[in-house]
Amino acid sequence: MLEVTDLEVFYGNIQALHGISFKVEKGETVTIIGSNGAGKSTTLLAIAGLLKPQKGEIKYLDKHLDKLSAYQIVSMGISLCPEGRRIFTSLSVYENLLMGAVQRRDKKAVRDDIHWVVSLFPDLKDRLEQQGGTLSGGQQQMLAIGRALMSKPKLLILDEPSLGLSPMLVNQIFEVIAMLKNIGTTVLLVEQNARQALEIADRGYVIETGMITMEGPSSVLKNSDRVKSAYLGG
Amino acid sequence: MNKNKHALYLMISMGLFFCAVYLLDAYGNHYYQRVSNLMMIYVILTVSLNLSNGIVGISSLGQIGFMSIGAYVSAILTLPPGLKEHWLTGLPHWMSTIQSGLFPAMILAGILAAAIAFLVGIVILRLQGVFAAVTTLGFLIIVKVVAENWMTVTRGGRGISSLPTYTNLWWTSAVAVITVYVVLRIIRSPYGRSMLAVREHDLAAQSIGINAPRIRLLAFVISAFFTAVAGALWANLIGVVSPGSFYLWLTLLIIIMMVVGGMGSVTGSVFSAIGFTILLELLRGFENKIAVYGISSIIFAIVFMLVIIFHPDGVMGDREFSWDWFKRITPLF
Amino acid sequence: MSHTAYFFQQFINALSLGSIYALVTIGLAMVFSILRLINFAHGDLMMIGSYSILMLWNAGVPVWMAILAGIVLCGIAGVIMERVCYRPLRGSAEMTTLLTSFAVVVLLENGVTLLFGPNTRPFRILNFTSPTFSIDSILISKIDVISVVLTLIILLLTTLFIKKTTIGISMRAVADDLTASHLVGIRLNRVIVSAFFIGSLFAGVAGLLWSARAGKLYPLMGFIPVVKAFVAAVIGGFGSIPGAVVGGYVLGFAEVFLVALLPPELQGYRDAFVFILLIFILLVRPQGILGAKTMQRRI
Ligand SMILES: Nc1ncnc2c1ncn2[C@@H]1O[C@H](COP(=O)(O)OP(=O)(O)OP(=O)(O)O)[C@@H](O)[C@H]1O
Ligand SMILES: [Mg+2]
Repeated sequence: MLEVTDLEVFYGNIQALHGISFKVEKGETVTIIGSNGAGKSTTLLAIAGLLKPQKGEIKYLDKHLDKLSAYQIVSMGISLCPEGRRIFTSLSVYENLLMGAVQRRDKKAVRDDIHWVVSLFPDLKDRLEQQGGTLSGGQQQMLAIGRALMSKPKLLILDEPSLGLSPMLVNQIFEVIAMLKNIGTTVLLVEQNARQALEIADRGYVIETGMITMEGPSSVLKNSDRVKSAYLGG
Repeated sequence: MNKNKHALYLMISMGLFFCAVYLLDAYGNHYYQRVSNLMMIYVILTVSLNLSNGIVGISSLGQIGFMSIGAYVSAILTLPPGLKEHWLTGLPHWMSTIQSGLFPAMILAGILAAAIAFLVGIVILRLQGVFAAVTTLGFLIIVKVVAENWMTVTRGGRGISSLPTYTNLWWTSAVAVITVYVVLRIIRSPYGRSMLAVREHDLAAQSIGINAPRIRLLAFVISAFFTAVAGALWANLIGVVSPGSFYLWLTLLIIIMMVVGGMGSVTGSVFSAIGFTILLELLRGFENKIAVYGISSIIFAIVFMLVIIFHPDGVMGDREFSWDWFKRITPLF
Repeated sequence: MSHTAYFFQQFINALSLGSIYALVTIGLAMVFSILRLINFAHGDLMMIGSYSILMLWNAGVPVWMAILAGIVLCGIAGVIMERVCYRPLRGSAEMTTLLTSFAVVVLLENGVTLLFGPNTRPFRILNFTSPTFSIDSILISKIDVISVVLTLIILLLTTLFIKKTTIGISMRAVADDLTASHLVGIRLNRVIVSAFFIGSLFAGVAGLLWSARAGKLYPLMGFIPVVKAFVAAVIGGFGSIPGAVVGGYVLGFAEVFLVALLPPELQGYRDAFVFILLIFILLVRPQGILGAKTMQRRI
């Protein structure tokens, strides 16, 4: 479904990605793990069309993404829930969710989907009119995921959805991911929380200083010594 | 070694420059003298603007206000007493009986503008770029409104005419050379070099121990001083000052000269001012021929937009002239 | 005229002037909140609107048609301005776009001067300024009523637009977080074009009201209003529509009552006082009065 080959991205003169290649098949849940500054977010932003790669290609459903604008990529069914939430703080929760569906014309179905998102994240239920910026950090993260779901993505990309959340909220978020997986959504998950990410994913990649250094089925990665010592705390 | 050589080159070229000034002043026809004077005035204005906007990065749109102040101060000081008593009834008695020469008028014009720039500068240095830009534009409007309404001192919209035309090439070229010298000295001072390096990054400048606000304020005040002196020269060149002369068009004109030359480059400003003065004269001749006026400003505005879109650093960026350029051309140097 | 009557007369004056400022400021603030662009040429859209209306009317087009067409032309002019002058500069520093807008001002003002001459022309469409009715010696002219009512209607519609329509919510979203707007799939160009179109329509209306109030128009007519609209935006907090409206009316009142209080020989200085006010406000509150949101380079 998504195929990234030899991706190189620069910030000015600084090269952040040194040729990254990976694949996500339809219906799979794939995780990318790696330490801070490894280039995970950079990879995702390039897929979403916010960064232009200098080299390499990004193919999605056999079409090239690297020349498209961000909105065109969204309309092809890719949705990125960015690192650090980035909800619209001055918009209400309801409006945030509407913006997630900004390209959809089926107004009625959008309203149903808002109900669906609220059912996934009951915390948001009584807060639809509340300003996004006044939500708690955890609620904002749920809103960010909910907003990403509102475009009905075929491929959902999540950048560190569990960052800064209490264990209970982390579990809740992983439950939602599991549920999405069950209804057939393809998920590309970037996580610091490698343990849970590998638990839920079918396959995984390890990225270090802009390069993929390991890949394989989650069960294999989980038991590899290198992954254990570097990302699973021994 | 190299340094001595460069000093020699500099002296030779200065000598040649002032020879040219002498010849043009003594034998040139009136038209060429006038254009050369304007050219030098534009050099002063552009280099001064570059000091505040390019080199220390103050977003000022109000420099022409200082020019206006300078022009009016000089006009009031140099107007013959007979006319003064007649037109400028609001002046204190002692002022309406004296007539000053160009030099004291220039200096007073510069000092008054510098004092006002100090006050304006205190406000705008606290502001972010866009706010500073609009505030200084407000200052420009204030100056114009005052010039238009203070009938007993500025003669309002009619302006002050019949000024003695003291300005000649010696004055304008000397002031231009001094302006360039002072601005280069500021750039080459330790302050200036780091200012240029960290332009637009106040915090960085402060973290390496530069008192950024102070040096910027100083630059702004010096810039206003020379701009006002240019105004004084202008008043006594043209012979008339009126509120409308110092407004949007002139503001844009020197911004264009600065940006095209390169914000941060004195060399760029000098050559750009010279080039645009010639271009302006050519266009003016063309306008006179077809009797359609205003085309030059339209062309200038379009040129400016094209430069800013396709070559935002201008011709020179923030590089400066160096004698080494000639090395590449001829081994003689 | 009694004191109270005089006061009310000035009150109506201020309301009417404030309405015009509010209309101009909304357009300025809409574009600014999205692009971080101070579009000085926004004032020239007022001028373009007024000239179009006058020219159409002189050419024999019925008044209301001329007005409508002039305002729409103004909207189109704004869209063209964005496309030609500002879109190539997307991503440039704030000062670059600001200087460009300054060049656009000179371009348009000289262009119009070239076409129609530099002189002031009378603008006496509909005899807007004739007093229509008077209450207890207070004269209320058509233009006052029209300015206030029209502005209120426009404000109401704008609020609905901004709150309820997808494009309106998108505008707020883009102003809020540009990156996130890209990620959810907002088409930035559409939002920007809409902001320019709507803002320019309002500038057209403001231009009509302004020239009708003054009874005249001239190529430079838009410049002072747009710089004043900036003052209004500073008062009201940059980038928010309600702030723009509040700022517009506050400025209208401040100006009218300042003039009323000034001795006649100082009244010519009114614009100077407005900008001195700006300097004082910024001296105390460098970020403006209501706006605390930090401004950063965007897009
Ligand atoms: N805007 C930027 N400008 C310059 N360098 C950047 C920029 N954004 C990221 N980088 C650099 O690119 C590299 C990769 O950053 P990236 O954000 O992709 O890391 P990451 O794997 O997502 O890290 P984290 O887990 O901390 O989010 C880092 O070295 C970072 O410093
Ligand atoms: Mg990251």
